[in-house]
Amino acid sequence: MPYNLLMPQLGMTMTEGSVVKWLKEPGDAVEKGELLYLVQTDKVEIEIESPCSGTLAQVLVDLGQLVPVGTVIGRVTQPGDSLEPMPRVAMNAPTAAQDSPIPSSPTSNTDVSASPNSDRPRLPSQRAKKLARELGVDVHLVPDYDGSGRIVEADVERFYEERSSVGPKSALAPAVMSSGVDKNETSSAAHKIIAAKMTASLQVVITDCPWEDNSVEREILEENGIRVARAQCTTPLEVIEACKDADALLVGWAPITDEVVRSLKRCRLLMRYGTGFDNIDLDAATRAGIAVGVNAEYCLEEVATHALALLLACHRQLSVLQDGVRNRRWDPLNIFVPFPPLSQQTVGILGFGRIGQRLAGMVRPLAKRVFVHDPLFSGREEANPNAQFVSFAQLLAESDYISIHVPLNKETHHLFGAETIARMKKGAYIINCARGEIVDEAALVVSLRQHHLAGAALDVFSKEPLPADSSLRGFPQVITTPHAAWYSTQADHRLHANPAQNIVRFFRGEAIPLLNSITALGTK
Amino acid sequence: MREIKYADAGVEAIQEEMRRDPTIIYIGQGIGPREGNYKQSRGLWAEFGDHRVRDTPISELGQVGLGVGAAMAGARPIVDIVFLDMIMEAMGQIVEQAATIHYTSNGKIKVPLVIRAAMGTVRSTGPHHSRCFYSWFAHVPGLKVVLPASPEDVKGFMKTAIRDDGPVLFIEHKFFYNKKGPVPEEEYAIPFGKVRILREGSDVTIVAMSLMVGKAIEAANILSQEGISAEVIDPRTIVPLDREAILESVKRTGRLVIVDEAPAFCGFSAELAALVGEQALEFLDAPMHRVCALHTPHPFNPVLETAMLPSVSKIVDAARAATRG
Amino acid sequence: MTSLGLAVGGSRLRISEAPTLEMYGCMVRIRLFELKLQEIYRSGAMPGFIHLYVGEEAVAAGVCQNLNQDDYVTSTHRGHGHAIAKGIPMGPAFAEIWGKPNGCNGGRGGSMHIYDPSYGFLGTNGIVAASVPLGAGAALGAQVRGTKQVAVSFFGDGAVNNCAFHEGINLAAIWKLPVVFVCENNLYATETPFAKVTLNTDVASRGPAYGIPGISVDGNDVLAVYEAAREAIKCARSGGGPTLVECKTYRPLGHFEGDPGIGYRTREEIAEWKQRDPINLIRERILADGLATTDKLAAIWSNLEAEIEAAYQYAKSGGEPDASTVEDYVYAN
Repeated sequence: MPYNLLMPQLGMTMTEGSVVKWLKEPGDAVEKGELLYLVQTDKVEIEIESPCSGTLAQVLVDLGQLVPVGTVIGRVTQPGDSLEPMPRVAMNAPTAAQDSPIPSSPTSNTDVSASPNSDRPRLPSQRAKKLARELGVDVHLVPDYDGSGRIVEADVERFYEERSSVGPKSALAPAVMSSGVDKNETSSAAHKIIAAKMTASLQVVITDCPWEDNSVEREILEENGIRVARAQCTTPLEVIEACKDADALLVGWAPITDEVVRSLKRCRLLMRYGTGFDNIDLDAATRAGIAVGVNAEYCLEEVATHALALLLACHRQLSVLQDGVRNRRWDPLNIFVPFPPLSQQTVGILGFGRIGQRLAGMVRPLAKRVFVHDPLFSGREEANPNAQFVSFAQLLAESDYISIHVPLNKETHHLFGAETIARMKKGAYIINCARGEIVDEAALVVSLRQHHLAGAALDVFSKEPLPADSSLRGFPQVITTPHAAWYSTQADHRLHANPAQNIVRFFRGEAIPLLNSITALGTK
Repeated sequence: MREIKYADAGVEAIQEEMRRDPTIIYIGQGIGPREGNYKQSRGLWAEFGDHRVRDTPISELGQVGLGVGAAMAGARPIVDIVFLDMIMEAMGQIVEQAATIHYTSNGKIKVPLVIRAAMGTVRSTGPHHSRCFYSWFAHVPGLKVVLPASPEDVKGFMKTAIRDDGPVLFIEHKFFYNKKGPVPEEEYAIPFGKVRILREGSDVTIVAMSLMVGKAIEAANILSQEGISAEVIDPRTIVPLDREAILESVKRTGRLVIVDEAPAFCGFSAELAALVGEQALEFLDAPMHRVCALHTPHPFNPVLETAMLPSVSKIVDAARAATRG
Repeated sequence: MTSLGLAVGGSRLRISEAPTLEMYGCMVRIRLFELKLQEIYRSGAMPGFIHLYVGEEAVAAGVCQNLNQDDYVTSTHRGHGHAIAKGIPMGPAFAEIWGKPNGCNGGRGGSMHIYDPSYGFLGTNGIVAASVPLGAGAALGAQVRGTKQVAVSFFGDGAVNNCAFHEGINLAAIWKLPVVFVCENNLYATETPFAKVTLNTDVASRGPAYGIPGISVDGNDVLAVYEAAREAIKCARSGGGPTLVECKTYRPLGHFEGDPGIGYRTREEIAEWKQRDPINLIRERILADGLATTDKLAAIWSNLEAEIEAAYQYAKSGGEPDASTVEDYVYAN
């Protein structure tokens, strides 16, 4: 049986090789395992053994002729074989997988600058596709209005405006005008377009505002197509009269009672300028399906800083010193009521909301201990590095200063009455930047007269403006500021801008922080 | 819920598993009587002894290589490398051996191996003790990569990692070890492949890993005061990755910020950006932002180190940029 | 350290004291298997590259004769001999080296990634020295599970200067793992002479540096290998810890198929070692001792040829895998 001698695979990368030497002549006998021919590749030279015994019958390649791996390069016959001569391997036989040279420069046969062809379809940009999808428009129907060669967002917008017959009470309304808790997929671009249609006929009524200038709120609301009316209500009746057709109320101090709430037919949102909401009947609003929002974060830093300033002023008895100097005295040791350094004193904070927390952080380095009492935090002693959580009793008994940072409600009304004040440490101070009615001013006055409390610093009062004949005015150790803790230029801006922005977001169906959760809008 | 330390959460998981399965062993430097550099093996040697809790010399290659061999031979080893930086010595055994055996054996041999290490910097731990190159392992087919960012995640994922029949890189952050967090009393395990959404939001998605999660939340709180509502997502398992949740969030918010303590170039942040670019491009309203470590080794000096690393303010700036217009 | 009381180099065993004919058969089986692979590879039919075990058969046969089916072996890039000696069926092995889907690993691994856990064969390996910690690890697994299994870790002279060698052996030594480290010192790591890159070429002498016995034997004398391995394996199995066994041998062929093997070695050296072909050496002793006749040996040989031919045909019949399976088994679950 004749045996084919092959150009062998010698290593992974070999694709071709040549025979450079034969160790036998055709006609010679060969033995299995005997070295027969020498192969050369681009890497090595290797001697190949004969795979069988017999006679070397034929050589089919020239010395040095490059042939692919697997080519039959010769034959060995065994006794009794007859052999039809095979053709020699042709020169320049196509080699398998000729390595193509590694390109080193760009080939020049690609048509880089294809000329714009007016028959080619105009391709939409990503943002155009997105806007079209959100508006429910087939982007492929949108014309290339500006001839730019691409369909862009502006093209989709224009197409939508021209095509749509969307009015303010369209079928889009329920999807967008949700409670604000749902998430939706629309982009700000789509929102603007939808919102413009939605808000066109909305009206906000400012029930009252201590300032004349509402330009900030107006600009934000009117830019979004919302009309603004300004009133100056002080009684429930005035509010009812002014807000009959309002979709939202922007409220200063006007009383929004249960009676007022029940009179509001269209209103869906009550928004306060400030943070407190004790002038709004929250339960009534919730029952009526009206959302209530406040300006939660516009003056956190300012109030905390003001409380700190009042605390330090009390500690250093600044108002007493000032009073002394005004009276031509110059003997601090006689003016002062003796006191230890602040680093040996305990500061107490009632209420650990965002303002209370900030104050704790500010005062922590100055005082020996910072106590906090807040019923919402009971049992979590390790929660905060700046304050130690204590009971109300301990707060009263051991604080040298108590700064009040709780809202005014049924539980906190006159919380600091005669009994509570009596349980405070002798020589302590009350600081109040929260709401006047939390402190029973008459009881405070009694305590001051008895020299139980050393003084107080108050930014808020039961009646504001503070009446001219209020006894509080008469104590040098009482510091009074005219409900000013909230102020800085930034807070002043946010006081007006935040509520307006939140009103706009609410009507666009976006999530805004609310005091209540409305699951079904009342059908009004 | 009770609160326990991150380190102790890992110990609880390992302890519970080792009690349940006698083939689980724990190998590492100083993890026996010394209980580990971070007390991350507290009590294990005392309970299970030399047979199953084995101190080694400094031989990361040998530790992991023996871990692979033992895993092939019916044990379930946990190899503790302590500092992720030191894992470099063992890369061959992880990448060439552990990751390939199940595949090239056509499923005949499993390598149920957990490799545990701590990454990240804690105030000038320096360039040999601070690295975060967890993405290299994610790049190797066959390896799973877990980055737990809370004690609850540590315990839940450690159990899943031990029970996984393949090699798992369990990469903790050294900053977390003595920090406490809520952990359920009852036994539980968390399956791989689900993100944790720390904060829901509608204006921008912030994806953050490991230590960066806390910074992202702080940034989100600051942003909310400016009226920007940020959604914060922790992928937790890099491999397998919960692509759907991340894409769903980005499709909703249209804006993405990625925060990573590792450098941006060729890091996991690049993979997330590519994912979003491939599958959610038309939902984006703004370019994506990556807040990552600068492309430098870790400098020792604290000021330089702080400049190199992501910070809350850098995240806030990126989110503002992403939501501007 | 004691060296288990063995004479360095030759074996004191008599042929009749060992399963000599079985080992002879194993060596011939390996030789024929490798030569058939060479033939098929040279025809261009096989992908990748292969490293043939020709000339070193005595080591695989002598060591593995002492192993049970459930003992573990970790191997090298030159591991076909270990696989065959450990008992892996030849058809699936041939097919695997050929990359065929009916290979023992579905063609996914090839020559350097052959695994068969039913024979404790934990892989040939493309990384030099990886077999050392992996073998130690397999022994660790057995120790943890409290079984009587041992592991044998095969590696070459090229591994002994690698850190994996150092760390793997040290850990095995301190924990008294049931593993035997077998170094096939064929004097060249790829094309680098061992003597050129190592001052202390006495591999066995490294054993005591780790506190374990180190033995050196003539790796072409299958009885010497058998005896040394028997003692080392017994020691490991009984809890005595690991042993380093150096087997001095040679590969007359190139490092891989396609390496002529003479650029870095002299023809004289190769010829000299060919005189010491391990199969011929034991054959001469078998005939001299009268353990078998030439006819019997020829019969063994031709039976094995038929087996290898059958293995080849089995492999040849494997088609191509379904490309959609390419992503299977990346993860265990």
